[in-house]
Amino acid sequence: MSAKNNILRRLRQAGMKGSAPDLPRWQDASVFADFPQTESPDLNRHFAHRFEALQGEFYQAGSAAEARSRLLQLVEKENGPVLVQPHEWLRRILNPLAANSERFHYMDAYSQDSREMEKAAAGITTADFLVARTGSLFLRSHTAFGRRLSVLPPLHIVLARPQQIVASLEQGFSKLKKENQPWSYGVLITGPSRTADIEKILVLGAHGPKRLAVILVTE
Amino acid sequence: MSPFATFWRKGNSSSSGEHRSFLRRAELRAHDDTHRHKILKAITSYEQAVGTMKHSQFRHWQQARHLAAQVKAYALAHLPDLLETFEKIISARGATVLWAETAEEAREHIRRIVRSQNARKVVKSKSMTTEEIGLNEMLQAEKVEVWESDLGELIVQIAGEKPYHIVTPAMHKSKADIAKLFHEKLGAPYTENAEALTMVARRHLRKAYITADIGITGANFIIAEEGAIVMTENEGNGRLTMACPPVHVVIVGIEKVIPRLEHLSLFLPLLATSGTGQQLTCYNSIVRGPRSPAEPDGPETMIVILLDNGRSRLYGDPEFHQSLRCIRCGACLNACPVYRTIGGHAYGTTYQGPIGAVISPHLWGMEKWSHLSFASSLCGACTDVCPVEIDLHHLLLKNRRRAVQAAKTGKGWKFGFRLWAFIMRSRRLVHLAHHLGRSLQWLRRVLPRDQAAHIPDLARQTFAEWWKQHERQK
Repeated sequence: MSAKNNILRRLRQAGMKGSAPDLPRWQDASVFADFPQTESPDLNRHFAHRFEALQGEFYQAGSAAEARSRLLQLVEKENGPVLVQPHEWLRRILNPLAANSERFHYMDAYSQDSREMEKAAAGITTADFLVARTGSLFLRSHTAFGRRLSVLPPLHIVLARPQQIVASLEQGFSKLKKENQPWSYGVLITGPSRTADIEKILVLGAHGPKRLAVILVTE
Repeated sequence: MSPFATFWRKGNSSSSGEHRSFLRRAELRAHDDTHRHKILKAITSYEQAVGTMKHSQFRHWQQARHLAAQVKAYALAHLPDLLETFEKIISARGATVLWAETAEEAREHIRRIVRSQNARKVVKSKSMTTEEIGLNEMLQAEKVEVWESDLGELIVQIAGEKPYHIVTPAMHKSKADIAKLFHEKLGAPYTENAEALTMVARRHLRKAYITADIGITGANFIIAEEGAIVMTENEGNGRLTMACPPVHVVIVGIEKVIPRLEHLSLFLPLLATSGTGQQLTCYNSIVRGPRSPAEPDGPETMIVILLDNGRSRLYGDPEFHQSLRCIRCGACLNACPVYRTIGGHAYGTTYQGPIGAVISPHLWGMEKWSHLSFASSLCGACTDVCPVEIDLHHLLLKNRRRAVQAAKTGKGWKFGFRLWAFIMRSRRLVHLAHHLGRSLQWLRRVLPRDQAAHIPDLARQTFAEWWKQHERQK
């Protein structure tokens, strides 16, 4: 008798199936006090407020050019190459930068070795959705170019659009359920990496990125 | 040791070795002011954050915990079916699911994986199940280097200690303690600056992620209908452990199931609020399998080990079944006056605090561990804070009843209680006992001073006598 069969048999023998009522249903709006009560343009502001409270760096860019100059500003304090997710929309915005700068590299034309990625100044990705209530971003491995790009470099920059902002987690997850994509890994990111293991003192950049930035491109 | 503790120990039949060591450690810690100060500082800061967050995030905290309790109750009621659903869906994506009835079976699974991979180096994120099965000791016996990546776990690993708390393993260490540890064991320059110390750990672990053969994590949730596991953390060491090494092993208790992805919209905020007073923990990773063909990185192999180790026994017990709802947030530890006084190491078990006291006898033997259920004032603070409404303090009481029923209670203990019951039934005998006690209370002086202090003066009159006298005066 396998371990699986033994375990399942013991569980079934307990006869607990009828012991609980049906699953309750609820909506985030009725559970969460901080549910954004505003219309969609203000979701930007709600997101920005929550995101900055987490020490995230938030910027709005009215044009691709503005986004580019903001990017250059963000990376100037760091040393090393800037690695970019090879996404169509990102290419449209960043091609002028990539063409003129030695620093910017699209990941499909760059070393996949973790040791090389370790030397990067920043990783730039898109996001699947942003959550206004919590100031979070959700990325998946098949859209953010794998698992490492958004976590190895010390600065993670996300380019996003206002339409990607949802009010609460519930809406974000239901968006995921509607698709049927083969992603192996997804992560809900809420601020830069942090720890309080040393006397409850908050320190940023424990193992993941020390800096997390969002550029909301409104053009 | 106080006279009451001695009497209690003699009466409580499970005076196992564990029990004696527990009392000894508890006594030491209770008198250690430095230690108590550190714990109080940590817990005060926790309480402020949690209190604020419960109000600011939730309309009605009671409503939120009730919903969570209902979801967990449903998941448990349907556990066997949900576990099979999980296995089916995640296996279809290329993950391997293994089942382990005991800690030894789980260790054997991992031993086989290590040998088949010729692994020399393992990086792991914080996981109480790995503590539970004694993973690190087994890996060391296999001559495998183990790198604990969570900062708190790294600290206790370097110090050669066990985790102090299920959520914040190094809560008992001050900055100075950690500075000394890192200086002596990692060769870092001595500094008490928290940021500098964190950076030492960051640099120390960087190459571990990149060169490890296997990454081992636990999981906070199993999402049955999604075929996924969820891992919650603040630091990012878990993400790196699941991103870089070619093999990802997850070891997770079978009770961690929740039915659907959308339930995370309640459970992630709930866990973060109860666990650390955050709105959401920094990184909540959802893993649905090894890397898929179109992805540029990620482990090629993913193995999930579903751990029973006594949980199915708890499951079949109608009274204790609800204890499996636990999401391991640590709130009951922080609320408990006993935990606050003696700290995590005194317990001597993997799971400390109220939840540890409730489940340890069922996982590892009633005779060996029931004493923890007796070491409680039954104040109920634990039940009050539990985000999934586990009736913890009543379960402690039920453990006590079972321990007494199962064990050969001392004849002296039984006689003593019968005598007490006999006296208590008669007012005259109570008065007699009271005044007899008063006339003999000078005998306290034969005891050492700090023990004599435990025994208060008896009042000049019993309450009934005092009342009668004052009624007359009216």
